[in-house]
Amino acid sequence: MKQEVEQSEGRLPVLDALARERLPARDLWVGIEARISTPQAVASRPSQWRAYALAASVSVAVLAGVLLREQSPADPRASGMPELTVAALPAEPSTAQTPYSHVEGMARSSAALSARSLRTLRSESLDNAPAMVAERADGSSGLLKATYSAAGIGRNSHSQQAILRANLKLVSQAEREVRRALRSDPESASLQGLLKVAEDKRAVLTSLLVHEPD
Amino acid sequence: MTLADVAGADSAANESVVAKRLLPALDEARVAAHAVEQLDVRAAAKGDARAFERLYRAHVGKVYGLCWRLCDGDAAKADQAAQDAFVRAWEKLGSFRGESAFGTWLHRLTVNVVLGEHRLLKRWTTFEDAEQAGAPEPCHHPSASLGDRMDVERALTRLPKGARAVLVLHDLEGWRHDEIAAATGIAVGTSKAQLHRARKLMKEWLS
Repeated sequence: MKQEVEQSEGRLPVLDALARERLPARDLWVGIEARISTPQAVASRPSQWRAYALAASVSVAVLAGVLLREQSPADPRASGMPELTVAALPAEPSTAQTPYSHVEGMARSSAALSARSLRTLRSESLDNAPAMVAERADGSSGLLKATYSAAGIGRNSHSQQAILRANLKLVSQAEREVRRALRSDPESASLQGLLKVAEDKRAVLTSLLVHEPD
Repeated sequence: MTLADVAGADSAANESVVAKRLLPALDEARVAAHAVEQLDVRAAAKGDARAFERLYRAHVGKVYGLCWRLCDGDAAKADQAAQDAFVRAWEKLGSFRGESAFGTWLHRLTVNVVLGEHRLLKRWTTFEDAEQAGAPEPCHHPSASLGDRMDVERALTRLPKGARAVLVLHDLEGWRHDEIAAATGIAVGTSKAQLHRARKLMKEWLS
């Protein structure tokens, strides 16, 4: 307060006489209208449909995750493998205020569900196999990171492979949508976080599929 | 009490009555104008270019004035910057949540566009170019006459970019140092130092 008073004390009185407003010599609207009418300008606007498309793809991913979970043994510990711990997704206190908050909320719940699905899938895949599974949480991001041993993974049914591929497709689609949304709002921290989650999930699914025989 | 006193008292009383009647009407008009602007903002956010044109007409004076001062008084640059600012506003309207007035939001967005979103101002921390450029032609009386205003404008354009930006934002637009720091990416201390030096240079040039 004191500093602001001091700052205002040194203010130049001549500046008060200056007009705040000034009109351009020509009408700028013509140029602005031409620029906002281009398909590129229209496409760069954050639109509701894009958010809904992302929400839809995420919800399908959730559904697929739930189906996958139902097909797996109810308790992964029954397979004799140690239960894997899943790192919590990072909390985003500002998400409630973002235009994509509903999408992000779904994505986070989807990520948690899918992580559980992956856990049961891995336990099932490794059943009766001497595979080593290591999973760790990245301390800085809190995001799920997993490494797998190729041994033992490969006894899944065709239906599980299909579900894995379907999940991968959906996650990739969600990732594309987030990237598109980021192009219109590159500074959005929440969208960047969401992209990271989608990338990590895609990496996990890809690594599972790589080890799957066709 | 003289006749003039009575007349003066009557005049003051009349002004008071008029003010009492007018002020609520003015407030109502202001509220109505704000409501209309909110409707235009919502319509423009949904893609209504006519609504956006109304917003442009209502705010172009302030936006262009700010651009003109931040662009060295260069009309061509100011034209381009103002157009860029409105195009950016059109693209970003979907993210405008109405937490501040539309004019305030547009003003901040304009500053970001003109100052290159935190990049350019980091290079504007020295006053060497001001000293190299030298002082503008002196004016005799820095009062509010048209000729003197021109001299003040000319002196403003002679300031280095960073110092001018801080002076314009702080002394003309009423921004605080922390707001300037957040918008431009410079430190609060740098903003204060720039303001101090800018005022000093202006005083020297105008005295």
